[in-house]
Amino acid sequence: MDDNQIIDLYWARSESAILETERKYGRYCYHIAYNILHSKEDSQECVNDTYLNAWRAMPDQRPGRLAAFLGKITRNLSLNRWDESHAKKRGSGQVPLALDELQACIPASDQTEQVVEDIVLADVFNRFLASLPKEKRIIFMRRYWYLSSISEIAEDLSISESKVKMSLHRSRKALKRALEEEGISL
Amino acid sequence: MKEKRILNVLGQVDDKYIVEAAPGKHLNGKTVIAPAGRLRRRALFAAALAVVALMGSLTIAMAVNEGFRASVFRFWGIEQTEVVPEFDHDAILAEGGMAVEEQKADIGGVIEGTYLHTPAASIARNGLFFICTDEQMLNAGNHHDAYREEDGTFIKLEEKSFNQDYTILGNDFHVEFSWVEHNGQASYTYVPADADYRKPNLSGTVNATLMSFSCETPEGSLWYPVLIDLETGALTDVLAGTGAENLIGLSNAFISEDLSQMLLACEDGELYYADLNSRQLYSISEISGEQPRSCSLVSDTLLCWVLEGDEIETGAFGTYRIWTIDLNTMQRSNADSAYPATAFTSTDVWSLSYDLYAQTPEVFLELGGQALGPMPRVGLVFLDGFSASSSWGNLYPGSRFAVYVEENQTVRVIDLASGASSIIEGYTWPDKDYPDIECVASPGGDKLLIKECGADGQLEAIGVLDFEKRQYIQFAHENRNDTGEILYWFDNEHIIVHATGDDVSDYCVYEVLDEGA
Repeated sequence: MDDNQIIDLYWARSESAILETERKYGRYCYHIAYNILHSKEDSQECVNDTYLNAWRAMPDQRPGRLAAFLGKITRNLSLNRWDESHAKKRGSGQVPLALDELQACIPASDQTEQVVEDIVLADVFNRFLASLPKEKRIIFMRRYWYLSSISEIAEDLSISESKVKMSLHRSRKALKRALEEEGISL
Repeated sequence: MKEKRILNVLGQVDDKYIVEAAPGKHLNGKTVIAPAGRLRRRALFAAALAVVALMGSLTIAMAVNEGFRASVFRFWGIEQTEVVPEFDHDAILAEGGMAVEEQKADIGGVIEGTYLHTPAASIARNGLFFICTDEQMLNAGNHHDAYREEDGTFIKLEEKSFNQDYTILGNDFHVEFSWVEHNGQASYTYVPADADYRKPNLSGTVNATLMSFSCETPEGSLWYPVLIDLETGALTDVLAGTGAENLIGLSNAFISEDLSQMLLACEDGELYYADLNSRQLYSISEISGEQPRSCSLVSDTLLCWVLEGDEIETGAFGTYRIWTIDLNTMQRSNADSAYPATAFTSTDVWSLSYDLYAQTPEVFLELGGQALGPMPRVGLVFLDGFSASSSWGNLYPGSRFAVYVEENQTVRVIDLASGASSIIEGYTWPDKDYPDIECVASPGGDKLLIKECGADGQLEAIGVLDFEKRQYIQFAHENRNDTGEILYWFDNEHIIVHATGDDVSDYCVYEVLDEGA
């Protein structure tokens, strides 16, 4: 079913909206959640919560890209759940690894730098992503948005794991430099 | 936590980047795959899939006694550049999403390239094209229709179902998947997303498919390979009685074509050789007196090696020291060979030493690829064996050959079994560094794909080194379509370029017309 048709179902408050969403994006959302939570049960709960959040959001929202809209909801829910479980015990999945890697992106501290709002930081990220060649950008997003493992990224793109690591390494350095040039402190 | 903030705020980036990087491809609600009924009514799918038949059929396992002729390798450097034409994807979609271009690429009269198109949600491997029939394509849990090419036509393969229950080492497994057969080998068309057996490829023959099963047990993670006859469902525990069932942390396996030999690897790096006729399991570390980093199985000889002297702090890539084991006597060779490593064979060192650029810029590459100082290029640029890392589910015995670049950029092919070497006459290693050049072994380890990219990451040159035919063919490649390209082994005999568009995938396949040109 076309995305617009699915959104129309939400606007019409038709319960088949959830069914069609699950049919088309259920595994996509589950994939995002599982990469973060590494638990079938927790992942499925986040996916179900995604549907609930989508139901509440539409109307009034009418997202231009339904996949990204749902993916963001799932990602946020999953990261929040990961935070909760992480507070209690060491979590598994890709999040701890990704956080370790992202430490390299933290700009060096400088008195002249300012802590900015998330919306400004997101704009910096968008410009940084636009500056990357397509393959590097996809690798970066797969790793730090989708929290995919290195091996999964390598397999999907039919490239070596070492090339994925190298690409991420360079991209993290580039992001750090971009943040420093913007005078941003995190 | 600052890095946590990065992770969170990344969630707010533009939707187009999220969609662009999504696992697989979204179809955005467009049905680009014609229903099966329409496919059958079509008179012709002109899918002239002329794949790179550079090598013909070769036996993968080559006897050590064959030796290595002391002659040079031929170099076919084709001057003409292959320029991929611009495609009208809208027209292709209007015709159902599967098409073959009539205009072929004539590359120097030596290679002919054929361009074909499939819906974006497709993958090509094992000599087949797999078209996802679900609305959304992901890594697992998708259903596919499988096609092969025959006389310029797509032929849809008959899908078979497999549904069995097994008990392996006291643990119960339910195995359910769909598959097709091609050239005696099985390929998945559907695997449940939560399957406990190895994905994505089935390895071996239809009647002797190597499958591995994994689960968590009170004793730890279990990973165990068995042979399964896909037609009867019969399971053969080939390692029963060898003691391998007691190995902790198994992670990879290879079985020879005649089912008489196996290589096993554990997560801690330990390697084992199993003689399935005598039911003997051998620790390669114990025979060698040291733990090898990797090994290659060549008939009745094991090639083993370690990397020594690599130092991340100084960016030293180290030296590979290689020895052999005679599997008839289980004796290690008396003399070792040693070759310097490079960034191509020690990519971990390269990646980690990158951080030290600030301290020693004369040693490391600057960000963006501008070399401020020479990267070590003299040494091995290809050395690939069997280890704990899986080769994307394929059975991989390791390669018998290594490739070495000399001071004057002459390229030499080394037969690790005999120690003999030959140069590739007329060819010199280009002035590029890893990863702008990458070497990828064929699934059987008897050929080498050498791909060159520009600074922008775009594919620039394609080369295939055939160790048996003793030739290296290379041509330049240019694609002006705004798509990302990936180049990989289609099967052991063919390579394929896959350009991923939003709704249509473009495949470029090549055939050598005349080796004597």
